[in-house]
Amino acid sequence: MNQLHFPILSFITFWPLLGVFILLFINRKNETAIRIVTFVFMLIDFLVSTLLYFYFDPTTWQPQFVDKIPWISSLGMNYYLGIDGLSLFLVILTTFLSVVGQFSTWSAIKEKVKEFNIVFLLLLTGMLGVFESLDAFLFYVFWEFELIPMYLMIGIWGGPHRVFATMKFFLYTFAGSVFMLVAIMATYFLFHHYTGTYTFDMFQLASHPLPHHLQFWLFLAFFLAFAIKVPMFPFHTWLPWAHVEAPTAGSVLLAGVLLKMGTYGFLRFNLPMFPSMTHALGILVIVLAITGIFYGAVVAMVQPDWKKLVAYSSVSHLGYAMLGMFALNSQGMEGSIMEMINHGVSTGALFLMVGILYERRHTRLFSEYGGIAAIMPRYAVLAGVVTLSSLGLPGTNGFISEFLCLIGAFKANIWYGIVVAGGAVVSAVYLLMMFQKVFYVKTRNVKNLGLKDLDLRETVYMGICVLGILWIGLYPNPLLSRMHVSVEHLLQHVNSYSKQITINVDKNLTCNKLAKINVISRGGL
Amino acid sequence: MISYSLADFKPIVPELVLLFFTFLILFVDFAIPKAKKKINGFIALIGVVITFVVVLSLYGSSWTGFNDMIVFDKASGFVNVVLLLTAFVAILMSLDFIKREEINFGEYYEILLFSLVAMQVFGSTYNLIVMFLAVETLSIAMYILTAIKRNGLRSTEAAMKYFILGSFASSFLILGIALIYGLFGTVDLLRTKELLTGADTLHTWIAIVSFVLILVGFGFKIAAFPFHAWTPDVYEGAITPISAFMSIAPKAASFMALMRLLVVGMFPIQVEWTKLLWVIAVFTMFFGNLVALWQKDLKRLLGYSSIAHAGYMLVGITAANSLGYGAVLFYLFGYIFMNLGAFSVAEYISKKDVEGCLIDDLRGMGYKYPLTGAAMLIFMFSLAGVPPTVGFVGKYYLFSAAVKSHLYWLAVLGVINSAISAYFYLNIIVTMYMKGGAKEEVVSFPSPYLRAAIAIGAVGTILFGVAPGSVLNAALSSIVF
Repeated sequence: MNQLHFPILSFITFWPLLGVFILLFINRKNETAIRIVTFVFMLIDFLVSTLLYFYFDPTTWQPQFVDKIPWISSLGMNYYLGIDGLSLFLVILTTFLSVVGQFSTWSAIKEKVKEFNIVFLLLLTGMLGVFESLDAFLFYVFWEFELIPMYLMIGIWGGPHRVFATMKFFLYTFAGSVFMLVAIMATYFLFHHYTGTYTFDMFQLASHPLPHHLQFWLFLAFFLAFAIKVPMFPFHTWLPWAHVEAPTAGSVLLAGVLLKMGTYGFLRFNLPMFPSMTHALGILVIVLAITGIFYGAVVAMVQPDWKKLVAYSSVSHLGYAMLGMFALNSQGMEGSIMEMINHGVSTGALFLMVGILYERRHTRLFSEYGGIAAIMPRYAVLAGVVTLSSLGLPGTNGFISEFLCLIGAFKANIWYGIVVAGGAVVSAVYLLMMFQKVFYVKTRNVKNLGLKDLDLRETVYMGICVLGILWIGLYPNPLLSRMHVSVEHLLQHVNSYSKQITINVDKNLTCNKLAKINVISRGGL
Repeated sequence: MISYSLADFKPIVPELVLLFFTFLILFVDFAIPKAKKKINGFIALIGVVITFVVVLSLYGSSWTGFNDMIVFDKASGFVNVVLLLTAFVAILMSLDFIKREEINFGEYYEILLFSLVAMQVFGSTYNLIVMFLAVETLSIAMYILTAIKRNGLRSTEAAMKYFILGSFASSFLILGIALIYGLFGTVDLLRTKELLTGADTLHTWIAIVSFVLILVGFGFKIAAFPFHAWTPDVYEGAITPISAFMSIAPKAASFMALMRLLVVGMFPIQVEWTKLLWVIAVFTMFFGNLVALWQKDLKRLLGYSSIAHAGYMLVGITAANSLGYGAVLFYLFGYIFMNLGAFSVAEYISKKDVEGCLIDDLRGMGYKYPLTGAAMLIFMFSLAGVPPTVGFVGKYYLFSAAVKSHLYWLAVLGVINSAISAYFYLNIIVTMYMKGGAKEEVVSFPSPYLRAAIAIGAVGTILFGVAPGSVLNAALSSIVF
């Protein structure tokens, strides 16, 4: 079964559902009890998920902690959970940010508290399922399911334009995902055609990639779904709306976890299943990633709204993750995964920061702030660390990941590296400008004078985020060592298809197959 | 000389059982006073349950009777299950409702069950004449049920439209059947298949023409484009339980009969009919979903949405493989829960003597009636095809059948439609949860039976979305023709 002799992944995935069940029986008036119960459930979930970290075997790329039960066996569908070095930290990140996020809502969410916490727990289950599923069908189920609670969270507890924002978020993501659904079906049947087995097992599907010419449309379909989720440059327009309108906890999870599903999807589907197309189309992805890095940074610079700035900074940061990944070398890819984790922690913390001030002043416009450093010193210190980590100062987590991504880019092509190094400067500009506008310039508004500094609860959750930032920044090795074997395996697999794109393909079989498809599809039309 | 033995009656046992209760209501109705007409409803409910048990116990056997005019196979067993479940929920929806609307006549349940018997027959025959008789019986019953609210203007109008258009469609159907008979001298589809296989070009072309004519009749019943025009008016005008019943039961029987017609009788011209169905499926999906975007009335919206869903199911038939046919059956099964559930919620907030139900009336409902609101949320996500609901699983198999037959474009157009439809389904959720309170307070119709109907819908939608295995296997193994 697994190292722990206990279905730990199923436990952490469905444990929040038990919390939902218990919440149903708590009177909605008793808001404190609802908050505490949810918090305890999430905390336990997080603590149990840390066991994964300690018991994880860093010497193998094979999936670990596997739970596998036939689900719809006649069609090759399994309930199949497992993690490897690619997903381990994303799982822990998810449970971590949920605890922190929920803790931040104790004062932020005052209406419909019960519903909010139910939705939050459902969201946690959905997010965990995405990172743990190793069955493509199950993956899709969780991938779509997680949209529902996030849709409700933005739509019910969001800002003034919440309905538009949440509709845009849902429809945009849903429209992208349905193409992935067709691609999953097609991969399933084509895989059967070439190997004789019906399976949704992601590792098995990756073990025998389809012939090069068939990969093109499938790659694009998966690309569309994931690129919207990441979001990559031309598909990012839903993100500022959703981030800005969502409640703080929603933004934290949206940026911290949901965006990572896109990048994670590339690691699980596009790279391993369509390796030769990854080489052929990688340049396209890299160009979009670099465009995103600059575009996000430049647009962030001119935002008058604090939260919007952070939202655009996500576009920029995720550009690094995509660049590192498609550099297709071990530094780049490890940097990419580190970037996912670090962006989750840092940007999550940035959103929490914004949320703290928003709760006090109910505005996010820079023009309303200034001189906060003198009024809320404790807040300023913590916020300073978070900002510095986001711009990648050595000693913080952001440095490690951006540095690795840059090395990867340089190794892949020196021009990528040179161009992107400029991007690092731009991101320093907008983040420092942000910090300056809020904390240093003279107080322009008398309303800011009486603001209270962080209370204990706020200090705790911001402090924990800062500890995470410093820990990863100073001692990233435990993380890197756990992902190393999986990354190497993936790269070896992908790179083995770089030079021999067409050799593996049986020419005769291909022609026959193509002719057959043509005949049938003409018949169908 | 045609002779019958007792064995001939085996395949129509489910029909006979239900017919018994149909007549029982007819007699009991004389004996009970107007205030106690609910008893009829309970008899109908018991009749449906008993027939359901009978069907389940017979499921798996394979019989034919009356010179192969009637068959009982796994497929008809499955359709029987779908029909009886639909009727069960529809009766639950009716029990208090028709009393409130002051139409609690004994005929109501009588005719409902009678149409059900006709549908059972419709789904269990390879004989075109029997099909025609069944389709006429069920149509006449449905016309009456649409008009059951005699003094309601919308109701009468809807019935009139339905009746006139339906008569036209039937005449096309009978013309097509006549052509088949003229060509091959038989109305039996199994025999047609043999004769069509070796037919020359002229015969084949006439068969294609007759197929098109028959398709007009069937297209009307399943509300496929361009024979859909009656649907929104009738769904809006008829009383809600009947709209709900009509959105599934006649369709289920028609889809079954259509599959028997296409997969057996018209098998030799499969290339031609897949082409035609490809076009019809695409237009049906797009028409239903695009027009639904502008609807303000919940029942009308569900009417257009049911057109779109017929389009999805046609995708499964167009795929022309057993996965597709099985998926159609599974989809019908799943559609019971989500669609009847949605109609039940529409009934839950309906007002007396008002046929329609504005979407705007749902404002604030999510908080005033949390459980009903949550159920509606589940139904809407299921209709949009979002996991973990039965709507997703059903759609998944329909489209994957298309992909299996390499109809990639059809699958892509299908999922695009799914994305379009998400907009108006989600819009209902937006209205329930995210808009301010209503101008008028939401009123609810306090009927325990109706609540039960909503609960059945919600539980079924989730249950068969998470664990579709057994029903799916049954649906897939039903397709043995």
